[in-house]
Amino acid sequence: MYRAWGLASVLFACTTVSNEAVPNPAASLDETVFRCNVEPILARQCSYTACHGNAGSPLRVYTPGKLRMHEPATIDDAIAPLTPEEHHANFVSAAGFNYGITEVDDNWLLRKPLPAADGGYDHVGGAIYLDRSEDQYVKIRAWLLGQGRCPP
Amino acid sequence: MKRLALVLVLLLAPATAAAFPTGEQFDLDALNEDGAGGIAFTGSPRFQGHTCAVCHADAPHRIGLSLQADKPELFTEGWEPSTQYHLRVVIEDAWAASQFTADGDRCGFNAMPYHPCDENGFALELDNSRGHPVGKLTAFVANACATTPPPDAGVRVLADGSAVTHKGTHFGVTQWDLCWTSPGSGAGVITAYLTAVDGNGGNGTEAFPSDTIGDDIAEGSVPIAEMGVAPPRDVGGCDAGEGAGLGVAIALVLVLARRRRIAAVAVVASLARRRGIAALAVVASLAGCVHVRPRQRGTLAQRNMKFAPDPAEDELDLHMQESREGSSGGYGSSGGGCGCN
Repeated sequence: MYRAWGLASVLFACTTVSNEAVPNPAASLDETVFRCNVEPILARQCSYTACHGNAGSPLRVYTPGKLRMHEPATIDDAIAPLTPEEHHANFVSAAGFNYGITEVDDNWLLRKPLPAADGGYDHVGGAIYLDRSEDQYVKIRAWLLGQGRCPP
Repeated sequence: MKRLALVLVLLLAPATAAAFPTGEQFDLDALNEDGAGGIAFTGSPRFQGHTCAVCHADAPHRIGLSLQADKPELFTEGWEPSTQYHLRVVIEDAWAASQFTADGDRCGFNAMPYHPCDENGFALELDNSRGHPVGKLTAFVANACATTPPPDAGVRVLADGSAVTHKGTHFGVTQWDLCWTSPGSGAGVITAYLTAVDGNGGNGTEAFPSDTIGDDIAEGSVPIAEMGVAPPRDVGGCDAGEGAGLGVAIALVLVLARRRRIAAVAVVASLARRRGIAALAVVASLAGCVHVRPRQRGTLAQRNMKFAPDPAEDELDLHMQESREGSSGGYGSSGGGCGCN
């Protein structure tokens, strides 16, 4: 009897727990600005197959000649231009790092590849940005803040 | 061709072979083409120490790599200002696809039935102590340095002139010749960053004549003192004397012992004649600096190597502890503990 009451209490208590919805991190970010300002940086700096051109990497970057969304049958398939789906997947992968971020400088796209002296850490590929004033850092930060613009 | 005198062996840490069978790809756009956007992956600081290993993973590192010069004193006494050197990059003990080496260009789509090519590559740059490429790189064709090389030259200089790579016009190649004109005096210690791929011919079929799987790689760097100038204690901002310089010196000795060539003898003779200067050069190499590769930083970069890797997470933990135990403090701030506040 006591067990039944105990179980009922636990179940009742559980019903009071709720998960608050977290905004979709991609919804607040501009995919067009990503395509022109951020994706080229990720492709040049990050997309190599032992790095982020790897399906198992949290930041996963598709590029011609390296990681592709669908296993290429020939080298011509491998080096073909990215498909719209692959571009969008790159956007979603990068945007995911904005999940639950309240301070833009804590976004790992910005923070991890910084030199340790500037707060960077944990990036096996080393410090990609020279410092917070580097053009790559500035462009990605502007995109995260919704301030980036594509060149005319 | 001039007899090349040796010398240097670099060594080699793990990495993989080129997904860039042609030198032009190093300059192609990385997003819209199969390129690297101007990154040569020489292992230099300006590329964060990245080498061929960023794509060619799990290499067994059975190959060696040497950098040779027509003027052996380049590696024993240092570089002379505004001097043209004929350099040669050599993959030692290449094994991947070596059964096709003798075929040369009679392979791939040039042969019927199709069989793979022995496709190898390299990348080299020479930087000053601030990590900036110095001097001028050109191809070496028909026993001469060629500023405007013919289309079938074996090497290609990047569009910005900062590095030189294989061109990929020929197969079965395990050595490449190039020219480097040193800068004017005062540039100080110059470091050669070198990496190479011993390709295995893709997956063996014409569907993938090249890929990044199953290749072997080698990489290394060597500081070259300016002739007549004592090298600074701290080169390039890295720690001195942690063994890398010693490794280079040992490698040099091993190569000299192994290769009983006239050129090598010439180097030894040169060392004997100029014992004082040679000793200085050897000491300089022993005091060489260590460039920590990104993958070597991996352990140090682990979260658990930091006392407080994530302040926000610590704040949350403290908040939970305060709620659970009814106490606070004890984490660096004054006060704390039960009944102390």
